[in-house]
Amino acid sequence: MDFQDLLRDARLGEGTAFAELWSRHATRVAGFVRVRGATDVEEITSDVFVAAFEGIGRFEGDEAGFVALLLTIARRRVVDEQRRRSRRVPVAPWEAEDDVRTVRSVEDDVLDRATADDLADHLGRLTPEQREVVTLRLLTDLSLEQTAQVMGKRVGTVKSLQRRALDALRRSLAGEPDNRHSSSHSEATS
Amino acid sequence: MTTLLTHDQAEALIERARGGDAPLASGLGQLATALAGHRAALAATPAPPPRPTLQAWLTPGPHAPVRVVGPPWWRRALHMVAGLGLGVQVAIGAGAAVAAGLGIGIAHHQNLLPGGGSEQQPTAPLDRSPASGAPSDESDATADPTAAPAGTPTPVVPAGAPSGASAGTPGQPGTGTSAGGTDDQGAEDQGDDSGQDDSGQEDPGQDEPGTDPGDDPSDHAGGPDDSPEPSEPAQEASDEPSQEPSETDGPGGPDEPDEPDASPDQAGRAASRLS
Repeated sequence: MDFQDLLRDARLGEGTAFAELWSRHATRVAGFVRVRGATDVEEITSDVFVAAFEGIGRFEGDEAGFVALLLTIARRRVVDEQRRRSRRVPVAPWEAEDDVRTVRSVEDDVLDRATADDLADHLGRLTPEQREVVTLRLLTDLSLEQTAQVMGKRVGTVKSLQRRALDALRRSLAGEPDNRHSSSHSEATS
Repeated sequence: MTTLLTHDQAEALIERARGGDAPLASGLGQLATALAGHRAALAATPAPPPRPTLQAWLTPGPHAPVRVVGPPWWRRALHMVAGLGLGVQVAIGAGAAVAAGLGIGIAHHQNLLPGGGSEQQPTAPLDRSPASGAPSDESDATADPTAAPAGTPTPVVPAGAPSGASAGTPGQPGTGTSAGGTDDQGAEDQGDDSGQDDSGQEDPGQDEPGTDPGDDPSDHAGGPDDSPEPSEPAQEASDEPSQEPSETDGPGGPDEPDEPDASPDQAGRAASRLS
C-alpha cells in the first residue's frame, strides 16, 4: 500500500493502518533504540509509536519523513531514559571480572582481535555521535538532511561525523591504531 | 592509508551498504562489506512485541486518530473549580452592573435622583390629581391658574368633599375619585356645581393660607371631618397621593408644599411653568 494511502487511513483512525506502520518500521526503531544503549527497548519502542500515532493527524510528509519522526521521538526517549538512569546510582556487588582496574592479559587482547570481525564491536569504539550517525544512515534510508534533523544538528556537522566515523571504522577493521579518535571526538563535539 | 575519507567516499560507502552500486575507492571494499552485513543484521532483528498501550492502536477497527492524554483528574477538577469560580464572579459582576443600571434608569425615570426634585414635586401630584377630578381640575387649571396649584394638594380633598356632600354617590370610595367626580361633574354640574367646586377648591386655597399657612394636613383632615361619611374614603384616597410626594422629597419637602398654600401667586407661577 502506498504510504500516502496508509497515512490517510491512519488519520481516519483505522487500526490496520497503524498495524502496517508498526510492521514496517518497528524493527528500525527498535534497532536504533538498542544501538543507542537503551535498557528497556520494548517499552521505548512502543512509546515511540504511540506518540507518533497520537500526533499523526498533524504529520505532513513522505515515508522517510515519518521514519525521521519516529527516530526523533526515539532519540528523545532514549535520552530521557539515560538521564533517569544517570540519576540512579547502581549498586552491585564487586566481581573481579567486572573490575576495570584489573590489568588485561595478552590473551585477552588476542581474543579481542580475533572477534573484531563483527562491526558492532568496532562501532562500540566510536564516539556516541559517530555511532549514531552511522546507525541512522545504515539502519534507515534517511538523507543527510533528515539525519541532521533527527540528531538536531547541522548538515555539515553530520557530514563531518559520518566521514570521521567511517574512517575510524576502516582503520579499526584494518587493525591500524586509531590515532584520530580523540581528535575527531573533540572536533565533533565542538 | 593515513588520509581521511572524503565526503564522496563516505557517501559511496553508505550507498553500497544500502545495496547500491556506487563506485568505491580501493581499500574500502572490506568496510563496505562489513557495513552491509551490519545493516542486514540490524534489519533481521525481530521487532519487540508491542506493549498493551500500543496494542490497542494496532487492533483492526476505527480508532480515534488523535488521542491526546488529558491531564490527571485532580488538575482537571482544579481547572473546573477555578473556571466555575471565575464564571460565578463574572456573572455576579454582570448582574450587579445590570441591576445598578436598571435602578439608575428607573430612578431617573421616576425623577428620584437628586437634581430633579424641583420638577418632581409638581409633576407627581398633577399626575395623580386627575383621579380626584381630572376634567374639572384641568379645566380649572387652564381657566384659573391659581386654582390648580392650590388644588394640587388641596383640590383633591375639597373637590371630593363638596361633591361628596352635594351628590353623595359620586363621593363613593374609589370610584368617586376617578369616575364619579369627573364626567358627572363636568357634564351636569359644571353650571351648577362648578361654583361649589370652585368654592370648594378656592376656600381652602384662599382662605386657609391666610389663616393657617402651615396647617395643610389639618386642613386636609378638617375637610373630611366636616363632610359626611361617604366622603371619607375619597378623602383617604386623595390624601395618599397628595402626601406621598412631600414624603419622598426629603428635606425640601416640608417647605415646598407650604409655599403654594402661603402664596397663591407662587403656586400660580409653578402651574404656569408646568403648563
